[in-house]
Amino acid sequence: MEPNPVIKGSLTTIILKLLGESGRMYGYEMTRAVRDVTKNKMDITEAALYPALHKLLDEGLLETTSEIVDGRMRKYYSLTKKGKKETVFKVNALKEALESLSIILNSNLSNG
Amino acid sequence: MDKVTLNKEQLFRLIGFIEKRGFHTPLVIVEILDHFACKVEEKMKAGPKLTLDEAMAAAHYDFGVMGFAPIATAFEANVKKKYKTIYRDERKKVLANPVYVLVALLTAFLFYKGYNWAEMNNYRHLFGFNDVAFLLYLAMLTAIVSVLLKFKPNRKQPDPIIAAIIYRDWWVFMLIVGISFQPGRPGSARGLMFISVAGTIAAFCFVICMFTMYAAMKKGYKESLIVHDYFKSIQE
Repeated sequence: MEPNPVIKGSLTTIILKLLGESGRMYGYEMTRAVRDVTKNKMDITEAALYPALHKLLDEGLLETTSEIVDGRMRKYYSLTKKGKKETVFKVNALKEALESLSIILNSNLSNG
Repeated sequence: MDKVTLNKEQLFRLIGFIEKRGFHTPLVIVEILDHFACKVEEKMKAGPKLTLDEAMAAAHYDFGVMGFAPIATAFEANVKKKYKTIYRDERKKVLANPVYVLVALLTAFLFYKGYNWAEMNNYRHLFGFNDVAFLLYLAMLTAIVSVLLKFKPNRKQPDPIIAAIIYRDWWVFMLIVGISFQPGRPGSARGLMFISVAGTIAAFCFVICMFTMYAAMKKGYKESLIVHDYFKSIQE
């Protein structure tokens, strides 16, 4: 599946939103959740997901805890206090951007 | 079909598969393993007739042309950045601790006095700056080796956490000593003063670096050990 540039640009917001809803998630669970919610219309690749997760960790928006699940070490990501605040801001900003985009795409623009 | 869960032996084969793709560090392998295992389980659930090898190949294909590399690269970059911050925080703590600062000042003072004493009493041939610089290099090397032995990172592969700490601040120290370490430097009064001051600063920085490295290493080792122990348990 070709990575959609709009989705790629919104990936951090999608991750923050997912974690805001679920509390904590592990990497694979996030890719699965996006696929399930969008009925396979959207797919997050690992190549995009992990750099985005580590970027959010660097920014202090996420924190991790590790647990042994099914015999392997699983890393759970969750929002920090700063991350929770940032999620509200980023989700609203994305919604506004999408609304504006929708207006442009649906309006009948003509020169003059 | 019911949920497929890989057993220990299968996980061991997954580790072998990851290693064959050039990832040998336990911390990196563990970072990749869970996601890869989930994907393999998904493949096996969707195609119950698939062998583990086929499921691994199919799951790896899903990671794209870069395979596991983006996960490994992102993880290593994050470790570097994380321990840079931890190192900085520890250095602040060391510099705020009067005991550490006093030890560093005392070492610097002893160096300054010792060097000037050698100069004044014509023992330069015994204790010239080049000898002192060499001793400092030797002390640094000994200190690094001692810390490495204490935290035992020698588990076949270099540990990114320990590497992130070890290589943090040494360039400052090397720079100070490197500036002054000039064989055959003429012994003008100004030159000697410069050398003794540079050496004194180097001695102070060296002690502060050592305390900082030790404190950061303690934290890093704790995190690293959890992963290494888990990794060892799978391979047993």
